[in-house]
Amino acid sequence: MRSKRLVLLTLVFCLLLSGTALAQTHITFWHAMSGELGNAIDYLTAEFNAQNPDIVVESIYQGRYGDLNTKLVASLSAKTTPTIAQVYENWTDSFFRHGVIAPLANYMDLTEAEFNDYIEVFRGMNTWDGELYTIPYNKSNWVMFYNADLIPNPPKTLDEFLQVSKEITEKTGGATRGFGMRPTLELFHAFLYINGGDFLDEDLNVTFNSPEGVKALETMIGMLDDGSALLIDGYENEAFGDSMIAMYIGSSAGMPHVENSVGDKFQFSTAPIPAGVRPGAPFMGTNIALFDSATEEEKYAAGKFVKFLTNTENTVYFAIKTGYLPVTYSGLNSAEYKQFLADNPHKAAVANLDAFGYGYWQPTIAAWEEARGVIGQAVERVFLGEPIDIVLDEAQMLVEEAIEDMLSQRY
Amino acid sequence: MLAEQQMWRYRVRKTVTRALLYGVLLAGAAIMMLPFIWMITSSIKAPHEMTLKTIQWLPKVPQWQNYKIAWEAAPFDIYFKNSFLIAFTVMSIEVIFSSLAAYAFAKLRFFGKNVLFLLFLGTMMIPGEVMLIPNYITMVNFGWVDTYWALIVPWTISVFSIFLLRQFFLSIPHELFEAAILDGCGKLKYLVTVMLPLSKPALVTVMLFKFIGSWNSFLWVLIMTNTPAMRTIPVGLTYFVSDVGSYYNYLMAASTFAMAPILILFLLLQKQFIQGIARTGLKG
Repeated sequence: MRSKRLVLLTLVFCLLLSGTALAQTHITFWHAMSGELGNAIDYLTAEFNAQNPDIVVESIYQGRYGDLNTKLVASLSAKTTPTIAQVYENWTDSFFRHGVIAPLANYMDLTEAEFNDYIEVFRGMNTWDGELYTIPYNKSNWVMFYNADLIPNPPKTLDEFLQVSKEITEKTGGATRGFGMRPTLELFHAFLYINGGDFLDEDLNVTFNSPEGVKALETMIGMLDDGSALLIDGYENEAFGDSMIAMYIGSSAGMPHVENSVGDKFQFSTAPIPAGVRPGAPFMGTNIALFDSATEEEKYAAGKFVKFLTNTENTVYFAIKTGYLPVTYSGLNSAEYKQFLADNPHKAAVANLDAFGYGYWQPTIAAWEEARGVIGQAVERVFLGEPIDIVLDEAQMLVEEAIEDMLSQRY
Repeated sequence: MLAEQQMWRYRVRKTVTRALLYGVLLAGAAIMMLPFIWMITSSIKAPHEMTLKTIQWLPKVPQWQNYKIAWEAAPFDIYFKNSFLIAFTVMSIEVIFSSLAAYAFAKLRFFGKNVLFLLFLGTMMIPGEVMLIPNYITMVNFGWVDTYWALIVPWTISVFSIFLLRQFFLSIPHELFEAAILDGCGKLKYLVTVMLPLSKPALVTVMLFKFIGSWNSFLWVLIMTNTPAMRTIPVGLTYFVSDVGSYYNYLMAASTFAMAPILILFLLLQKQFIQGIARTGLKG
């Protein structure tokens, strides 16, 4: 009799166990991180899965950002969206307008302290409708890379920067130009912002077609004309590693590539972008969005996973492995990260704490996908010698059209 | 005496023309080979050797481990297996369908033949990217996403191949067809025993184009699959490229081993391939 009862108990116990095993919540995470970056994500995902037997997270590499975007758009129309995905802010805006994403922070069980631990600039980039819709994940900032053998003290102001650029070109007889640039939207933004300007104001009025915008483009063209800058074709880090240029402004995420190109040819370091009438540190990179098609259970599981990805220990792990920034204050201030920066002084400007105080970012509206193309082209046309005022007038018109289109559409 | 002199003159002229011809051909071959040689030498360079002001053909110390690192950066063993499986299956099925369709358009008489053929050709005018999202939705509805079905079935029909084969079939004299039919040969039997053996160069061309196309296909594979177990080599190559920089040396190493099978295939079938293109008047 007793043995029978024991068998029965064991059976019930087994059933219960299999019951919990069946109740596993399965979530998917689409990202665009390959190589070392992908390995870091895979490692963290495996850790999380091991710690949470009731949740299975599947991290899937979906190509580069452009491919990931195509795939997300396709999956939205076919209703096969992942649970969470890496997204740029302007994608988020489009998803938000279509009502296909849910406010991720609401599913993360964040205390007020934890909420405020996310760096303020990043919270700003991820807020829609007053709510933290997406969570910052792989954030980078733009800094100035410089050849420390040629430039012992990096320039701090725009005037010093122009001066140093000229001197380097003169000193090396043009073999090494002071500065290297590509005609990009990002570089234009950097010069525009330190001149006191920006692309759009809060009410989405175009503000780049202004004296500040004209001055930014004139400064850039001027540097090419007097030989203090070199026009780069391809990635800047290659010309930099080859000593064709002594400085360039670029993403901190490119750090491993700069280290590769430079090798032991010379010493290099990073500094904040020189300040004009005001300092400015552009922040970029992607965030994690939660799709509304997930069940409540999946949403909470995803929230738990994202909370895990961005906790102090793991945001520091990811930052050290990849060159991106920790996304929380506690991560920035952790002993481990501070030690890492002390060991790698050339990365100090990347996590320059002051920069968070004057950080800025590109507009986060859906129409930006089109607008950024328009402005990027305008910069290229100016570099090809077209008159600045006409090019900017045209760009303003096209950007205003794109914004109007966006605002007039009903979702 | 005169004959001897003439003979001698003839020999000199022949040698000179030969030398010139080979000279030009060698120069052409060198120009064509250069990018490949650059790819292979770059694949064993150290990272900082990729970006030098002056051209440096060979690395100071060959970095053979680049191949190992590149191979291990992505699950290339799975990707290779998939690429081979998909390319061979697509190529084999496609050549059967294409030759049947081309035969019908070239030799058989049926209602609306020309209109149908024009409609077929019309589909070539629509860029594939436009159809990507509708096709994805179709694949989702079929339940084929992340399976070999999605990677194989849609590619087993190719209008281009049908067109190419039809043009070739048309060049085969119609008298041959009539004679065979008069002798009691069935239409299908004529295709298999007469047409196809005569069209070997065109068939090889079609098969090679298909194989290369399938081998290089990237966006379709990426969109239709979600797991590494279903993906192919081009997806693996993107692991070395990012928005802020590229690992060129590893990319070159991976490109070298990704290209090797196609190169071997081309060398084996070279003769037929060139004949096929020359006779149908088409270039790749």
